[in-house]
Amino acid sequence: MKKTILALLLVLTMLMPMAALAEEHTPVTIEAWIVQTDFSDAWDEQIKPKFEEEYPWITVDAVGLGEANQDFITAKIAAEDTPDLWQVDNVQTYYDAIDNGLLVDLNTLEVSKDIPEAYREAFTHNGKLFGLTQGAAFSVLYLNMQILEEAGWTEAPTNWDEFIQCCADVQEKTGVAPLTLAGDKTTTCWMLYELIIANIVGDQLGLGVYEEQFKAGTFDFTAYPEIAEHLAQVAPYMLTGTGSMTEDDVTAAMTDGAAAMCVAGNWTSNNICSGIEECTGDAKYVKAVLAPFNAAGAPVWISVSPETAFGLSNAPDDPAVVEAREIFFNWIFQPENFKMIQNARGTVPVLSTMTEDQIVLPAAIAEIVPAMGAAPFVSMGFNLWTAEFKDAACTALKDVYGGNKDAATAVAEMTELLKQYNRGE
Amino acid sequence: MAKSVAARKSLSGLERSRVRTGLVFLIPAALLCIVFIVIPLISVVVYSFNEKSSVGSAMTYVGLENFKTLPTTEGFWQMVWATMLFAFGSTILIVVLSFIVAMALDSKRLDYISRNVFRAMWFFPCILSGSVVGILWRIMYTYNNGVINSVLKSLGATPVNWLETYGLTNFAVIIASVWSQMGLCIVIFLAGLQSIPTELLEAAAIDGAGHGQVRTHIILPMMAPSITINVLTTSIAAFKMYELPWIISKGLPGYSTRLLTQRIHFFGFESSKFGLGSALSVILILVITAISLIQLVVLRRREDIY
Repeated sequence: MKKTILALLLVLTMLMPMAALAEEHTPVTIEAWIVQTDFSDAWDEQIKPKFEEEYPWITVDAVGLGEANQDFITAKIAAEDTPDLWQVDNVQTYYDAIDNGLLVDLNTLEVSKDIPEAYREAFTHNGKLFGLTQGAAFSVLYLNMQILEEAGWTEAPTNWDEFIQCCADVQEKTGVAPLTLAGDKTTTCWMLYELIIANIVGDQLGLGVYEEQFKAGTFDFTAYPEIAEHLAQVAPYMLTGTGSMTEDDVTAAMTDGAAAMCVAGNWTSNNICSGIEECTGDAKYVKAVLAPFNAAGAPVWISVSPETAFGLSNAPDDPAVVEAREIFFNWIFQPENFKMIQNARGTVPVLSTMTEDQIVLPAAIAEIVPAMGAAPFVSMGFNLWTAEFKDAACTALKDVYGGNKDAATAVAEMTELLKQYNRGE
Repeated sequence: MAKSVAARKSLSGLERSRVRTGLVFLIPAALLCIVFIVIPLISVVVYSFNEKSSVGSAMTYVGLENFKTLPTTEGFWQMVWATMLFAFGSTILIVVLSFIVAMALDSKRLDYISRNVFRAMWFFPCILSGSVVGILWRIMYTYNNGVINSVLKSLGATPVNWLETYGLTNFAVIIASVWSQMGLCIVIFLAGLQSIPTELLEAAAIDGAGHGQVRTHIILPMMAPSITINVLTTSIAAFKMYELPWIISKGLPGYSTRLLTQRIHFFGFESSKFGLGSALSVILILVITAISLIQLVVLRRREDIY
């Protein structure tokens, strides 16, 4: 009998803390919309289990959106069915969302101070901070050095003239297409062009001026004849089909050795570098450099951008849900947790509280990060343009890459387009 | 009015009960229709006269401004042309080829098994979603490592840039659409062919009519109702088509394969201009209705002649 009573007491003692826990917290489920499905493994295997272990009463349901995210989000916003955690980009939809009070102004959160001012500025609209970025993205030129060596280039080109000569040599001596990019994705379609612009106007205008003029709609592409000249020079060296290629197609082309070089973002470095290695059979032939579109002796300008950011819902809900979503948001931006997201994508860290040992970058990218940090830069197009400009300008560029339009016509069209479709900021 | 009152009075209790039951059965369908068709349709018409973003319910009345702005937007007329080319091109090809295939599948020379196997094969693409068909054909058309170009290369021919060549891309997109939609038309044509009384064909044969004469003077006229249905449904589907051409070509090169439905999506979901998107939707609805009515009148008249 005594034993039974003792056992019961023991069980009750064990259950009491759980009962207390249950009293203290009502179980809640919050929803997160995740745009980049390439860290879904990290999400399922690391992020979600770790958070739910630390906060057992909160369950996080994640919806991976992938390429169709914009459609899904716009439809859900229109239906007033928004998640607790958003992933936001620098586009009109989210400006409307913050203007309409659907997102929290993150300036009110302490954690926002751990993100540098420049990256907060990028996600600020009408004075309100609607997203905290998950990393920095920048433009890269990836090279298959085996093909370049075959063409007589043992080192990567270091300026525009060398780059064009290298393209000519590759085409002539190897028969391989010198260059490709993912024309299907507007960010990378525009990347080559913005690198040309940056290296032509950057030194003349100085940091930030091009962006100001672009957003105001006053930047005149035709005022710099070299822009059209350089675009015309490089277009014939594009792999046929570049205008309609996705990022996966680019990886496939580099893996097959169909192209010697590609312009792409650092976010695809893992795939492209593995592809080149698979193609050549040796990691020594994999090379990544800041695109050398500069004049000889001039600094290399690159394009950079904050990555997609996290936003916090401001939709009225049960106080327990509101509390849970804030707990989760703050938890993400703790260095120990944030590294799981950042390292899964291989982006350059922006969270100032992270330590060196928490950052793991792909080898080829790690090599050029110091140079990237020191390079002058312009902001990637999607931070500057309107949907109409993006659509029309990238359509014109794809026509140039496909040999259907001459560069001068496309550049002239863009000046007119920018006058008509700009952010007016 | 007096007549309807009298008619109502004349209904027996049983008839009134049947009417009530019928109305009850209609309610779910009517509700679905109201929620998913009538209300959105009215909303689209209302939005088309307003300026509205994708977020929030605030609207500003702008009258006909959206309709006036549309033709001045980038690439609008190229998209109108692309839509017409796609709609008429795919409708003509689908109907003509389906008719030919249906005639072949109805042939008495085929045995029971092979006839059914071929029918299933032709119908198969119909059960695939437009997105799947789009992805399949994109893989076929891709310049580097695409199926068609790989075959061409293995035959020693020069690969073709199917997705970035003006004119050729229109053709490529239409072919994919034809492949995916022929199955249903074939089924309708087969049903029509099988409903032709054999006595008629036998009588024509006794009168000495050749195969060609039987086809043009008996089969074709008897198939007029099936042709009407197929032309109408196929052309309406072509005007409404969105995902298949988009996945294959993304509207390239230039705006040459960009359809108006894709522009509606762009206005609504990318540039956050519901008003413009709605105005374009209203125009498209009117165009489809007008073309359908014209087709219906012309084809029905043809049916009456026969």
